[in-house]
Amino acid sequence: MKRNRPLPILALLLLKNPLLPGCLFMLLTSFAYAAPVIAQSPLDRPINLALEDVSMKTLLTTIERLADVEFMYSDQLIQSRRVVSLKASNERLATVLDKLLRPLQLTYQVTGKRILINSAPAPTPATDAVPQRTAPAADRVLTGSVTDETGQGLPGVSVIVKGTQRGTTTDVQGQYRLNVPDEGSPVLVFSFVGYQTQEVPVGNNSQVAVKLLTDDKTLSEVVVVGYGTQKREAVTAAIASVPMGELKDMPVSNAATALQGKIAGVIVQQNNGTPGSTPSIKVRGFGSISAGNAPLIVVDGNIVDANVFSLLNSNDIESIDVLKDASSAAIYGSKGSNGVILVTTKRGKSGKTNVMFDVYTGFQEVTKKLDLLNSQQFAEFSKEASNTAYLDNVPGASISDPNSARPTSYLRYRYPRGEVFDWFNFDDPTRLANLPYHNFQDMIFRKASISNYQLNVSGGTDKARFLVSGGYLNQDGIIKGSSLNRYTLRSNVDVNITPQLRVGLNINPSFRVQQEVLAEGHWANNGIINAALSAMPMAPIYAADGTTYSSQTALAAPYNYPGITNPIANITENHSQYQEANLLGNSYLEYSFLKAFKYRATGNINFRGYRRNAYRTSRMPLNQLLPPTAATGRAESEQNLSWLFNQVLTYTKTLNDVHNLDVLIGMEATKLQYQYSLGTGSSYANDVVETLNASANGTTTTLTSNRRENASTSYFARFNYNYKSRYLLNVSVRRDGSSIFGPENRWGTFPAGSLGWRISEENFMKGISQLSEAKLRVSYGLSGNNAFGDNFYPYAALLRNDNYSFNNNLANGLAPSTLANPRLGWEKNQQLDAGLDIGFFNNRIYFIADYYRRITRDLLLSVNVPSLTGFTTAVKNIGKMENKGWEFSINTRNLTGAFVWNTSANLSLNRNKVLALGPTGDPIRSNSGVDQTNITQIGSPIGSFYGYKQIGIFQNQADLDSYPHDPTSRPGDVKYEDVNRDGKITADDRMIIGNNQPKFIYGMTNTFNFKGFDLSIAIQGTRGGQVLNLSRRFFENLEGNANQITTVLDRWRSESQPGNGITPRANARTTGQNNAVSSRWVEDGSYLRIQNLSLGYQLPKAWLSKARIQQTRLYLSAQNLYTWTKYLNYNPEVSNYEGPLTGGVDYGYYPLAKTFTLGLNVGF
Amino acid sequence: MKAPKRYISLVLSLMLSACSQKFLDLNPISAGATDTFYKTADDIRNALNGAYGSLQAGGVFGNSYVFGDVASDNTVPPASGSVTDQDEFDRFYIRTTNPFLSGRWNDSYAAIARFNTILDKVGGVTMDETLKGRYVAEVKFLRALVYFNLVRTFGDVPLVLKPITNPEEGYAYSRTPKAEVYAQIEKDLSEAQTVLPVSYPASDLGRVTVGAAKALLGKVYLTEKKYPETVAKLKEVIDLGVYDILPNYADVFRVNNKNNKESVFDVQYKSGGSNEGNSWPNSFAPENSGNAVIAFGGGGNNQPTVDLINAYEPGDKRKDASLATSYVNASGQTIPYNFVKKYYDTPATNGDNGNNIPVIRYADVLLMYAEALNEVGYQANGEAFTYLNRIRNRAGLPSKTATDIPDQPAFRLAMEQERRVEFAFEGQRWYDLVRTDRAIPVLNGKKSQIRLVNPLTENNLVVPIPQSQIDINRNVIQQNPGY
Repeated sequence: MKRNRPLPILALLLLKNPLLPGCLFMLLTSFAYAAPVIAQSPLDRPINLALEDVSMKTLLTTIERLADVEFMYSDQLIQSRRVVSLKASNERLATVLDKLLRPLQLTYQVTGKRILINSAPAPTPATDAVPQRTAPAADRVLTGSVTDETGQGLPGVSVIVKGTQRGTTTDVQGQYRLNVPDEGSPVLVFSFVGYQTQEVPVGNNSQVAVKLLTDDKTLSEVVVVGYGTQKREAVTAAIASVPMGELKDMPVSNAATALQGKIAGVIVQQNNGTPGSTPSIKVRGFGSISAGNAPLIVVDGNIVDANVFSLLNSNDIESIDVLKDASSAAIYGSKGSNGVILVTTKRGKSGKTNVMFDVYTGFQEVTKKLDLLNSQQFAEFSKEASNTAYLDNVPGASISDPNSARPTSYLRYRYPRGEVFDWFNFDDPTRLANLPYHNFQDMIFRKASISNYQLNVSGGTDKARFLVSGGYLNQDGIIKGSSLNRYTLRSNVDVNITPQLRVGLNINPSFRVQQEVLAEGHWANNGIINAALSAMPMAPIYAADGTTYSSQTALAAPYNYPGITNPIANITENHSQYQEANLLGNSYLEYSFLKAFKYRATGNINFRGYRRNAYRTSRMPLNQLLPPTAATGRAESEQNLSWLFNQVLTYTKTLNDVHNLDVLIGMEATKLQYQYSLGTGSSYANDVVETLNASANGTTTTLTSNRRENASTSYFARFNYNYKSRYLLNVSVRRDGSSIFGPENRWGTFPAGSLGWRISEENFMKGISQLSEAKLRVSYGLSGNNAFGDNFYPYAALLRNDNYSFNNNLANGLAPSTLANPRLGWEKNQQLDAGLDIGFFNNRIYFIADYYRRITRDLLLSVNVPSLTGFTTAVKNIGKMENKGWEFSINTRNLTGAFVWNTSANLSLNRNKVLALGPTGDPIRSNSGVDQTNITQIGSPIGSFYGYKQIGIFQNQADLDSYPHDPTSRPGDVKYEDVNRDGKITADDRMIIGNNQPKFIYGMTNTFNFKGFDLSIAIQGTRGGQVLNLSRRFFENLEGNANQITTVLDRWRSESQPGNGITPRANARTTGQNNAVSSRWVEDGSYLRIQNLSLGYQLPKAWLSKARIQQTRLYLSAQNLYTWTKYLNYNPEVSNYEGPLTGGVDYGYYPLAKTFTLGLNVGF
Repeated sequence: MKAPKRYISLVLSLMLSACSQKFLDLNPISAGATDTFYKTADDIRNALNGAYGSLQAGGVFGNSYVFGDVASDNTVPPASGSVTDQDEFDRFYIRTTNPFLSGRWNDSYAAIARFNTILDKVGGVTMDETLKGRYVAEVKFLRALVYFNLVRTFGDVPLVLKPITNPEEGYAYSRTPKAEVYAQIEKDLSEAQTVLPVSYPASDLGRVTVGAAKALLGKVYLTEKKYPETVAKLKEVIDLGVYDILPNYADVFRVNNKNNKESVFDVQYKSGGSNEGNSWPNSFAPENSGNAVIAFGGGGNNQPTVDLINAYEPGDKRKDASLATSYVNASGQTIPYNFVKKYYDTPATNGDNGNNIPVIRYADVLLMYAEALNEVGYQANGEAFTYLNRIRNRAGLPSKTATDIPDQPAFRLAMEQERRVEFAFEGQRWYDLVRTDRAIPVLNGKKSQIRLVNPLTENNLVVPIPQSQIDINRNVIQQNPGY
């Protein structure tokens, strides 16, 4: 009874937590009443432990506690200080002891609770006794050596003649000597903890030398699955484990970035280079149209936002596993349809206290700069644009007409001729040659520093284990003024209160402070990049006094130029500090009972809050306005508080040594509360105080706030069965209820199943010694999607404010804003997956292939409805989409000697197709920024680029007369294809002109180790996807009033100077729809990138031992070293409108950095 | 083995005992829900305010200058190159995907849905019956006003008179013949005018009055060429005796002189950071003018054409009150630029101006009355001349007599000229030209001055139905001819 006592206390403690519904906790108190004491042989008791590098003695003590036994041994015999590792999950004590003792030439004998450990030469049959052979007819002496991969002798390796008890162990040099029977064909079995067991036929040799390979973890490793773990060999689903070792040297401020190219079927897109920004992640293509496409992120059982990757230090991550198919993700029910990324953070291990210190420091630079016109090129181009418009629009015009002769009306196509500023003269060759030139790109980008420090202390005993880690990242952005400071703290503790009862706590607070800049956005809104690329190269930075900011506005009025803002001021005069605090906390209680049962209750809390204080000074030039301008301030805060509680009961049993059962049932409840408030002020008397209190109260200070919440409850069950690890079966079901959906359709059920067949375990395959693993897998299941973005009440008909005023008296008004749909429900995702795992040569070559077909039904779709209803769209479950594809990954250990060379590579392809849409099947046309740019239509990939197809440039009037054109077209304008052949160019001639989804994505990492040196080269890329470079609306619009990329030098000038045949004429008043969305701006987004290159050196232990340092490694690392791409803008991965309907539209974003760092890891 | 059984059943039963359903029944916190609204008099008042609010939408009155002035010979869009949305209206090559089309259609029907919902729900609300009757009449006026704009813009339009809660119903509505739409407009206004008050207390000025209903009905009759009815109806407005024209034309538009005696119905705006401001004064000021013309500068929209500038007679005070042809910038340079200055305020933030958008002014009532009288029968120096000359005299122009305007056709031309300059930038010109069958001859006569891409034809008198609405219900909603 005594071991149950802590429970009621714990329950009380937890009950005090006001966030958790009391009804869920009655369960915990119930334990006090149960008191099972079941008689059983100690050898049958299940053992669960995972200890690494502990002393033999510690290990045995642990087992004593766990199995309620007592070992008797002599320290000398068992070499009790030797360091061993052992992992067992629910294995019988007998199996565990065999595994531990046999390789050490030890045996054991059980008497009641006592287990006597003895040396092997007096062979005492263990429980699973090996049949005694008859005495050998004759023996011969065999000698040899056992070495590790590097050729070092391996002491203590067990060498046994197969099928007998005869054997020995290797000596300190790794040598052995053994008598073998002369008859038959004896086979030696070499085994050692941490190494792969090897069987070697003796033949006629008198010497057998063996090299043992370190145990390849691919098969024996544990894979994290939903609500539990599974051995890799028993996995029947498409689950990818991220090779954490390959992520180690990457100087990235967001851990998700490091996953790029590492997992087949997972696209990680760095679409934004802002320090700390979270890349977009998609598993197996786009599964949804209006609901989210991001996978579910689960950190230590806690469902969190993808943003969490920017708060986790990659050193703190133990493992990342990606559930890709429906059979593995269905256990997450309505949230799992876009795949699940399971992150497990590091926990303390018993044994010696470990101290690790990691630091890196380095710098970053922008990966690319664009080629823009210089002042002289711009002047020539701009003048031409003015003259073209003048000739086009004013009858009888001649380009030699002076400005004064040109109209004063809106047809004022004039260009600088020195009349306002003497220096500003495009006609005078001397002035032209002396035009000022500003390379604005050089002025906004910088070489920026990055440093990261982390200290990690872990250790404990078999009773309690802990880990504490603290990290600090300091990263300056490559755009001046931007920076990130991140502080992370993690601590966890696991306590075995009794052998049956374990509790644990994990707390992960983090805090970050970001100095933000307005990198993105239109110059009119003071976007830095857009302004730097658009401002004329001679646009003034300062007014005549040399300190007040000026801008292109100062030159603009007489010539109808736009008032492009000042890119430098856009950095310095916009202050925005963002502070975010995040607290992930979870605690669990785990109780094992009745041998095979385990109960686990987990409570998670996730708090995320941010605060943004922004201020734009009165010194800032605005669109068309020179300073002093009206200063504005902003204070914004958001808070997300969510909790999750789940209970899981598992039953693990092996029957007759061949039937392995693993059953799980559980429930889960979640709740999320969101709150937001925003205050703005726009009446500051001066720039002294930037907070809102300095803005005059009343009419120019505004305040808004809102709140929303959602909740879900779920029940789930899973049944795992395998026969001799040969035939594998997995069935699961989850039932989910969510507040997001209509009251009539609130619950959904998500079943899934999978089968596996390890052919390599079949007897008929045993003969093929090269083949070490072969497994066929097939799975099918249903999962759901409830990610509705910010809309927490999509089923409800809501009202919104629409006020009015009567004679200056405000009249508060309300009006319907959405239509109701009480039947709104889940989006359903059906997925078939067939996979093959195959390993050769002891899995030195390991290959995984998967085929999948994923059908999303009942798409949550905001469909267009006739707007005469009063609404333009309504949310419905309509439509169907398919994603199908192949994924291949291969891991090879090419060289395993003193020089080690490993390769991992993956390639995957996904094909997306819309199968059904809305009631009438009408395509969905989507806007991004300015105009319709994308279309989603049946039979094509979602969000395909949509526009006119350019087939050339009209060269002359005859050309114009012979082909349909826009009514305003002139020679030199773009020739679009008359797709519907109706003799007119109309909106109906728009067609699909590209798609953002790549044909395939790939990644490859090669690592080399030689005498303490390690080198890792990771490349990664995509092929066949396109980008709609909509930024060219700005820097290739040929209007002559903003700077342009150098492609405009190849523009059409005349029939005899036709340029590149694609770029139309310069014209200040565009004709012929030249700048409509068209194939001219659709570019190949394929790229190949050297993602990371790192070179490390492990200092020899001999140097370190005096300093009591266990290990020290120095390394150099380069991230995003080089990218091969034809894409004209900064970053081919960009996508400003990160919705599936408008993917791949580039409207300018914070570019990526390449980073060079020097790092050091020290372990004490 | 009783213990294990009890153990497991206990665990299972507790794990599966669900919390109450209420856990999942979460209602919106920061937004009201339609199904609990429209229950009380307060709700209806809020809904009615929201109905008035829909007048400010871009497609209803917010962008009305594009339809009324840019499309005529009065104004042109800014010179900026890549955006041709307004240029298409200006020069008559309107594409079916033009956003101003979908804006007008969508915003108008969103407004109509609000009106219909109130009319549908108000019956079940217990409240003062007189007030209820007035609310209904206000809504009917608003519905008539929006349909009047729709039918003049698109021709036949779907006539939706009750709220649609299931979008599937929306697919059944086809375009209703113009005549039926006009009949409904007349019905709504006729009903409204019997209930509405003559005026409101100061705090409610801007609501629909009987004068507004009658004036709009008069305008509808005039558009339908029902001249005797027009005369009768507008006479009723005049006879109300509550309206007058202000002595000084510029005063009519001064922001601190809103809802004056000349105002019959305006779309109301309010400055002061409540998001109820009018952006027109900023929108119409010259680009890159800094703070020289108006604080926060301008967008260069709705620029007066040289043709309009020249249309003002010498000495017409309305010219300087309505437009300017240059300004002096901060550096002291005189920048030639034609721009609208009829709407001017001193905004504290960009676009937050208090100017109302005039819908019907008393001057309009008088000129329509004169026009209708002339159509009923030209009378040398008759009543029609009186009203025409009242307007002219206020502008500082001499009276016209039968010598200047000898016959009915001449009087029509005089009206056309007078209305053009009187109502410049008030969204009237294009509809006046269409109403009087003058759009084609007048605009084609200035083809090169106003840079028409193609000569106007009968097809251009209505704009195309938005492509999006055809795409969505192709078999039911058909495009206007020529598009």
